[in-house]
Amino acid sequence: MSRYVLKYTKEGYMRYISHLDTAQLFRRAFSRINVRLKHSEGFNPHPKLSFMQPLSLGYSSTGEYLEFETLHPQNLEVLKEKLNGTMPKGVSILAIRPEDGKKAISARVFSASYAVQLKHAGDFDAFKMDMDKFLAQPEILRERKQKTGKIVTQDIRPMVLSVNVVQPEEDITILNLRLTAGSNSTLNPEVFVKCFCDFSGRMYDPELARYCRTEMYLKPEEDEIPII
Amino acid sequence: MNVNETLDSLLMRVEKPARYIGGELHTVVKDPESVATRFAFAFPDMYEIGMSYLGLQIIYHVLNQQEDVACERVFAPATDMEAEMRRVGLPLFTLENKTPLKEMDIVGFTLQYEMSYTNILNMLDLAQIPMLAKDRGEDDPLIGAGGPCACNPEPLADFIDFFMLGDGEESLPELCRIHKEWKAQGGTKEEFLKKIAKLEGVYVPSFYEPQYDESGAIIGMKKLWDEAPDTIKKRVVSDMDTVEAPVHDIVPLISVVHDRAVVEIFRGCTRGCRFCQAGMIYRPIRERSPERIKEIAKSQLADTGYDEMSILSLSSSDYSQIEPLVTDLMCLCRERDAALSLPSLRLDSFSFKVMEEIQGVRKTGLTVAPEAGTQRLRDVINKNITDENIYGAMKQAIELGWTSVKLYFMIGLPTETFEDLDGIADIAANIIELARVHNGGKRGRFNVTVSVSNFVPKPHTLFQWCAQNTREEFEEKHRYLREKIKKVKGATLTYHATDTSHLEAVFARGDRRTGAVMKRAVELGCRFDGWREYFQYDLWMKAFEDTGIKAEDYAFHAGQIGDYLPWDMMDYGVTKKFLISEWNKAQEASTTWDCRHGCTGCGVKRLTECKWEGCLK
Ligand code: SF4
Repeated sequence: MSRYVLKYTKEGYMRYISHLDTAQLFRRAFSRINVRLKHSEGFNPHPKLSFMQPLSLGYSSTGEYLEFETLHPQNLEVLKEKLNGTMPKGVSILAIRPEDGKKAISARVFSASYAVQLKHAGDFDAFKMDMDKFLAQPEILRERKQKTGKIVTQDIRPMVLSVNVVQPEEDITILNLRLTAGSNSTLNPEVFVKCFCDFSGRMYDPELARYCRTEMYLKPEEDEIPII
Repeated sequence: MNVNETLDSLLMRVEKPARYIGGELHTVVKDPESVATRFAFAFPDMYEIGMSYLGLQIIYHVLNQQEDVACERVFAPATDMEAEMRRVGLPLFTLENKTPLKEMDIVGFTLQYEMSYTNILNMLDLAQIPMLAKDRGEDDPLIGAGGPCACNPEPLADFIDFFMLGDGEESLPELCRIHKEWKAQGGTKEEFLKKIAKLEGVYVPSFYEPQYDESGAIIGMKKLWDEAPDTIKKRVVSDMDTVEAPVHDIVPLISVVHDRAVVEIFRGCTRGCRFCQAGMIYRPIRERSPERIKEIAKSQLADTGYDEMSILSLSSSDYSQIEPLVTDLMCLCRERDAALSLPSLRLDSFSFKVMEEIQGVRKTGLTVAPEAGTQRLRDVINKNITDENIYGAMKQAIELGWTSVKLYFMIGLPTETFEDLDGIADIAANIIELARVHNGGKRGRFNVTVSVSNFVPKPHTLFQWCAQNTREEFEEKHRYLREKIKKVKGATLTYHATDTSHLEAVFARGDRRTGAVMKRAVELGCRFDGWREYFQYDLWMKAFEDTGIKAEDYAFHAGQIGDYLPWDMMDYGVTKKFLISEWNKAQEASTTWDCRHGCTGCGVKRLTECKWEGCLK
């Protein structure tokens, strides 16, 4: 039995494929290239694939991860090439490496970085100043509806690990964010941007915002390095 | 307008955006400049329905095989997407190249069921193409249609430039070749239509004008162009082994109705059920060889990565070598961890054995379709299933531990009486009794669902002359059955909405005048009429009122044998003479055997060879 971690991208129209459908896409891809996956035990066995924090529908990513187990050991270069040959445009496999850690990677992921592109975000200097003020707050509270319908207040400030704002071209502002993305704490970048807009009196227009997850990182005690 | 950019700005606002993105594995994206014919295969329902339809995969494959043709797909956008598209003025586009439909050369709709007709008109409108053929110009695409409902094309005749009857695998490439020549010569649309009108299987409605008598009854078709053919013969693919079959199926990126590989094992059915249109219009039987089936199945599973495979035909148990075939397919599936699903298998000892193997522990959802409650009525409709067959199969099922059974019946069949309805309840009660006896006097969990549908008389069947039951009649029968079934412990009744069945009856047997109602209904907002949640009967009633057309004249009309019928020009092989003789036999509740025991003279031999005639003798 062989365990691996695979890093892939999800871009272009593939942003609109949900988390579950992405899993199905990979299951079929493995089947097409005749690589047999280990099946889960139990009443309704199915191939074991484990993903990290789900990517929201509409977000692109250049740093998605998938953990899987095959019945037979694989030549990783060949496997990568074969998978890339059977993927739809927009999904490509960047790297595969063996994994032997006891705990599943999905349980060890701690944070993720995002590039958020905002169109027509107004004056850049003002934007930066507002962002500094926003982050300087001791706490950033927001109300959140729980699954049960109960509304709870949550402080998102500790979930924001770093923020860097750049303006690569006229009228385009890019936020490079590092936010928690683990089993205990996860902050969706859109929530961050919405809170910032509320704080600074800006209108949030989802059509003018583009989100891309760029990387995922493990827990600090395991070094904050990308998974691959 | 850049379709890609506009589309991208809409996708986050709609449910299941992946319906509109294309890009699935095995889609073919050709450079529009490199082909002569850009063909849009249009499915007038949602993506999830259309992508589960084998015919789409076949036509897509066959057309894209042609070097000069690019076939792209388009589906009916769901209502939320439609609203967004109309809001920003985005015209309906193909999934492959995101090309507005109005820029395609040919748009071909598939006609699978009458209740999707409004979607066709709405899709044209969304594409900014005039709905009525006469309002379209030389720059608009040619609009074609094919599929089973083309057997009575008249309700759509004002909207569609040409219809294609029968199997499309051979005729569509031929039509595209004619298109290429015509385009090179630079002729008018009318010239193109004149060329294809001579192609077997093609009906160009603008070359004919229906004639009516003073009472408004249709009495014939007048040719407006002398050279137009007198009858249109359906096309028949005679060899299922040599005909192109799709192996690289498009694999959807989202889950659709049937997420599985499908292999067609034969076409046609000659059991001769008298209500069944498919049994008449798809004659004769053409089997695919087991070798070819296995070859297709193998490469389909390998190329798609599906974990389920299914066989397709009108009645799978009738395949001459079904047992070895199923055994081999099971083996093939097991090698790839895939499941085999076998719809339309008759319940006999073999199918139980197979189900034991493939279904394992899940023993719910067994289905049987007696269609009618008494032997008399089953003889009238030539449904060759006896009480012994039903109870024998049920006994076996109960012994094997099945706990849930679904029975399908039709009500409103010609000659039906309340005795036949009693028979439905009796069958349910008797099956439950079998379970009780088997379980030592207790019913336990065992239950029976009785599902009744409303009979719709269909063209090209002998019941084409029959009236449909009125709403009152259907409702009375529903009430009667409800009372009866209520008394049977462990049985539940489900039935279909009468309104939908009535509309289905109107458009199944409608003439050219009914097109106006359809257009009006679309203007009023009707679409997705086959979906209970979108069906708006009140708007339909208004459409009938506004156009002065009476639904009753079509649905409840019982014709005379000698009447001219709107689809009389369409030759599907089965002759009127045969239908009349079947009609007379039905009146006497006398049955007709399956012609695999010997030809019964349906007439399809005039069009093709019947290789399976008498094979069971
Ligand atoms: S012509 Fe005869 S053999 Fe052929 S389908 Fe009809 S009844 Fe059967």
